[in-house]
Amino acid sequence: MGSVPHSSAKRDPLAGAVRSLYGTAFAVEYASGRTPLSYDGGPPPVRVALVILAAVQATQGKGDVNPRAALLRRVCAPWLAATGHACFAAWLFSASVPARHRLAILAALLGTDVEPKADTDESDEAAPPVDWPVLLAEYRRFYGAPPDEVAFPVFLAECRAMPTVAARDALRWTRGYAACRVEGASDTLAQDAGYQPKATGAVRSFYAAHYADDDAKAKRKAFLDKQRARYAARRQADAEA
Amino acid sequence: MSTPASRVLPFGSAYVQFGDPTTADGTDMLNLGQQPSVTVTIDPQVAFPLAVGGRKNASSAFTRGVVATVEVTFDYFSFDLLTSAFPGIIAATSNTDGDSGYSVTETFTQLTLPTMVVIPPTVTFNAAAASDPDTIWFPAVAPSGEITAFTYTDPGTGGSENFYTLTFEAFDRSTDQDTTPIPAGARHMFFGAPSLYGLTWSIEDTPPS
Repeated sequence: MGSVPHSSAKRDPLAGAVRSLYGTAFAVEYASGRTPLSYDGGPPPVRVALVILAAVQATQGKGDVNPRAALLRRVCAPWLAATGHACFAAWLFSASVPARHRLAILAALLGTDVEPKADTDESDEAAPPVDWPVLLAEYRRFYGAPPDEVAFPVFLAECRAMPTVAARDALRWTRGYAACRVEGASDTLAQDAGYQPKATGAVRSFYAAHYADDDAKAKRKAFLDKQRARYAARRQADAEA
Repeated sequence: MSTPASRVLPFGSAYVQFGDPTTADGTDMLNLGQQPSVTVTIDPQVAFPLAVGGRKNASSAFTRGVVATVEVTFDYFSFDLLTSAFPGIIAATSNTDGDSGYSVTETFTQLTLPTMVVIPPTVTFNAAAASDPDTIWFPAVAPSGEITAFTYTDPGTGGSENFYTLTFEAFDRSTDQDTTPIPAGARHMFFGAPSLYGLTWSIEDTPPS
């Protein structure tokens, strides 16, 4: 665990810019020093950290392709230096960071731009803003194997929560990921058929998508309650007809 | 008889719906959105007599189709959910908070088993998902096993506060709920578009929150 003083973070003139770009929650965490600098949870989720580490390492040696990427690298650099990538990953996937910001942060580290926008234009499919195969290739280059089936569903579930082209691309990419698994070692017919992820990983990704915080839980329950009420009303109408 | 090569498809957090898919826009389907975990098991049924010495005889082996089951892990599972989706088949024998089992109905009544559809999480969820090649339709299903007591119960709804796993068994159905004949090969389950089998089926396409 690192030792960068919190006070330096509080005085950082970037705090305002961080808030404007990535929202209050991010900025509060950033300014409060409760970010990875003071992360004192249990063992960091190493598998998730690998994903982030690959993303961070993929940016090394690249120029600043946009101001956001430069800012994020500058913001993240002290954290990374002080705490290591595992803690950064733990923070990024903790409830402190709104799900809709996670991909943006990752993409900024990658030097790409995935500002969330309305998903209304089908024509934008031609230019996905995040090059997922590149991310995968980087991951494999560093670790010699595709991401494991536990970490990546979590990541993809986060992506799926974003109503963007990138999210659609991520979904489409799950098939490529499944193929990647088969390329390594397939242990079930299901993987041969391209069905992924395994049940255990899927439960975790589902949890990440629907139970990340109280707001997600409330939305989930409201959806189910509404559907059940609608269905019950239909059954009642049929019975009376 | 034997099941030489069961096929297990762990879909993960698939979309699940029950009901009558013959109504336009899936109006009569119970859309449960994604559920935490869905596993489809397809057991080929192969029969063969044994020759002298207990060995299997190739000249008389034959298939008897498949038997499919679907294991669903629900969140916010409740007894009301099943009584709504499977009217008449489930009766509470004690309290409705979970310490309940199945019992036969007191009179012999034709049951209306719902159709079930499982849409893998890799399929983009919208109305067209009903026809995706990876989507699996089960013309009729019923829950099997028994409902055990819930570990934690929501005092407001009586539903389970924990994830709850239940297995559904596929039944053969010769006509759909609008009396359209279902081809023999699709009566137990089928992948892909219902229209390929002459069926006009749809799903309720309200996206999950």
